Amino acid sequence: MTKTPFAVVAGLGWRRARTGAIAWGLVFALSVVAIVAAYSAAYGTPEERQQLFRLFGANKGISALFGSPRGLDTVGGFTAWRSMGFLPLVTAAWGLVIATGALRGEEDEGRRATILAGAISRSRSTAATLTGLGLAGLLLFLITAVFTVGSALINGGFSAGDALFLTLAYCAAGPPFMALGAFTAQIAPNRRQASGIAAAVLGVAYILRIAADADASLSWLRWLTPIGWVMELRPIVDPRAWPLLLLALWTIFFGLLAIRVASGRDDEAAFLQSSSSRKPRTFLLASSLGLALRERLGGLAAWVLGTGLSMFAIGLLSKAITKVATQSGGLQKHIEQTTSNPVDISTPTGYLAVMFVFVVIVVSLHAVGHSNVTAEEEREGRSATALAAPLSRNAWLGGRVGVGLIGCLAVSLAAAIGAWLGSVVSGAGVSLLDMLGAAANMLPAVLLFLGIGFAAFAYVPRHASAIAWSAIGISYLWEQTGAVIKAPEWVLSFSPFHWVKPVPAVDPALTALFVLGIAGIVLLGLAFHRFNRRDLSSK
Amino acid sequence: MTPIVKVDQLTKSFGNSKALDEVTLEIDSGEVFALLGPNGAGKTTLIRLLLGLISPTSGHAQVFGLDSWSQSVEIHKRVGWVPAEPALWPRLTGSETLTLLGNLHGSCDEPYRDQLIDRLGLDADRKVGDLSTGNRQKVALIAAFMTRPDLLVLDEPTGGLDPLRKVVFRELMNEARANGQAILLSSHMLGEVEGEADRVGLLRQAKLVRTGTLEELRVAAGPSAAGQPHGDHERSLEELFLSLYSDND
Repeated sequence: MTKTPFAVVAGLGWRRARTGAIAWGLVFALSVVAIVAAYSAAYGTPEERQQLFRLFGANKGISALFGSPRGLDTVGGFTAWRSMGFLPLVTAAWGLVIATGALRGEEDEGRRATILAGAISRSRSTAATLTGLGLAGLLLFLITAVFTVGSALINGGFSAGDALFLTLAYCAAGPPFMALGAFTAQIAPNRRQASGIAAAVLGVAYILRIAADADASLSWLRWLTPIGWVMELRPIVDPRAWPLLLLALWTIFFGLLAIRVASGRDDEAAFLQSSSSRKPRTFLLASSLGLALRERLGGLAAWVLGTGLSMFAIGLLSKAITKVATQSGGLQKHIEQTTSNPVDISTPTGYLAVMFVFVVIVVSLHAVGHSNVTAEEEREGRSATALAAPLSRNAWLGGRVGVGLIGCLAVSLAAAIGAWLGSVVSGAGVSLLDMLGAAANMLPAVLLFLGIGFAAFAYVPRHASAIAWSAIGISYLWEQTGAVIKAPEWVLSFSPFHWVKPVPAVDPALTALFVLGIAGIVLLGLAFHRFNRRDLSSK
Repeated sequence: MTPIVKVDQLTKSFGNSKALDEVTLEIDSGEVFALLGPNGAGKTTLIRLLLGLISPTSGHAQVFGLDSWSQSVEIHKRVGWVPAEPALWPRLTGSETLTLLGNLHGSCDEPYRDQLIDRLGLDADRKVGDLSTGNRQKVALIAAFMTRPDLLVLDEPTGGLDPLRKVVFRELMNEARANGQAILLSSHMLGEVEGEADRVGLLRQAKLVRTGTLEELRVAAGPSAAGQPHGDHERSLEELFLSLYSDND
């Protein structure tokens, strides 16, 4: 049976987003399962739960970072508070990224024109793409819902209905930002700028949410943005459905606006068209290394700033959280439950050391971003353009790996300095040297993932991104799941993240770090070896 | 005369598919050699082999007496390449792209580059991502010519150019030939090749089926298969091309 053009275009949107939906659905599911299991194990008695609620509820810094605590003396309340603190942000980011990619990204590549040359109007094409993306969003919801409901039924503490509403709440941030991304994709001249504008709106929404939760007199700020509306759904503890209406209205408004603008504009035209002409700026154009650095400078600055600011905020909170930890043994148990590391968090240094166990995942993601961009250079044919000059493959790849190393060092350094500055401002008295040590402790694992990314690029360039992302995802899930189910040490040891100990609170696993570092170097060596011997793929 | 390009029994396979099958040819210094063939005949594969972007499955390719795979960096110092689909950096302007490629090449005749920008009518201050296909082609053409290389490898170089710029391109080719530069020209534009090429190589299904001057090919093809009223000497290259391919199919 022949499909209608609408169904074909919707199918393209669905195919583009479904893998990410499955992957994120699984990550969300495991996160919720881990929170439920960790809470049940760490806060076994009603007294411990009451104490946790009392201590966290009184701390404005913690409210600001994760949202106002409600019902922390129940499994459901704690699960809702912890998951609503960060999952809506991830859902929103996913929504805007897939929307700008499927609309402006396709247009950047000239594929929108191909679609519009068929028997489909501009407005119906946009609507069809959004339909496909929406179905992918539904898939993400269903996957997460199955695990959340399952976790509720197995662990008890909250009903299947509560679990479903919780899933709906943290997934509800996706559609509004998907619609916003669809709109910015119509007005921005390229995918980068479309994503940047939508991400800026998300950033402002997050900051307003922080302000609203930090100070009760500013709580009205929560009503200004979709992130605030999502928080006002208050799943499990005080559920209310009517903010969903606001979220639906925002989604419909920006969705229809996107379709309307799409129907009236030329292909590749944009309301915010930047000037395409400028006088030459030749800095960093003297070499392949310079070009690689120049191409990555903007992204690198964003990573450094984002990581540095996040760790600054965590440094600010370190003293307050340490205070909670000294009064509640449950928090100590909770940390051990979720990181598989026995560590004393009764000092700010101990708490920040634990945070670096999570920062290593962020820096590893940054590392594989470099190999993925390198793979894209080849896919787009630009590596052949550069290598048709008298430039050796070692020099070209060396430039890319070099920029990757510089980037990983810069992001790690930003994390260390940010944490230290935050702790200094809050009077926590953490030493800069300790934080630099914590950052250095991450580097061998980061080097390993950099090596995996570039080796995948050299051996299987078409699948390099999938392999690199999967390596990090599997390692993270392995460590998290292992910690939750209390897997034996030898099972946990398969994840590189397991060997990033909370330094300086505990001693570094020097032998393991040495092995990780050597493995990273060997993989990089193999990448150079293979890249020198294989064909360049053509565009 | 020492051949500038020497290809001997060159074969390239991708899996079970042969993209180039035992091709042998030579190109002399200062010669314009045109490579013709239908889509998928192996023209771009041969060029990518000569540039060392891919390695031969068997056989040998030498440029300036150097092995095209193991000594490609040395070869590239004396080669300018225009790919069929120029892949450039969209956030750089045309001018910045030329600066970058000049720096990577290590040499650039800057007055000549500026002259080329002017003659081809390139707005060099515009970002490459905002340029049309034809204008991106101009950037690639200028990048190839501005270093005054001993060998120009031009793969479908005029695909996006308007007729006026095609005239300029012909002038540039003639100037390059007058300067003793060799040119390997791969093209579907048979008329373009007809006026410019000293010799022509015809590729079909990965094999080099004919090589020679246009005159030699006309003789080899025999009378017009299409029953044209005029004699062999008056047949255009296009007729010859169609005749040869229909004869062999």
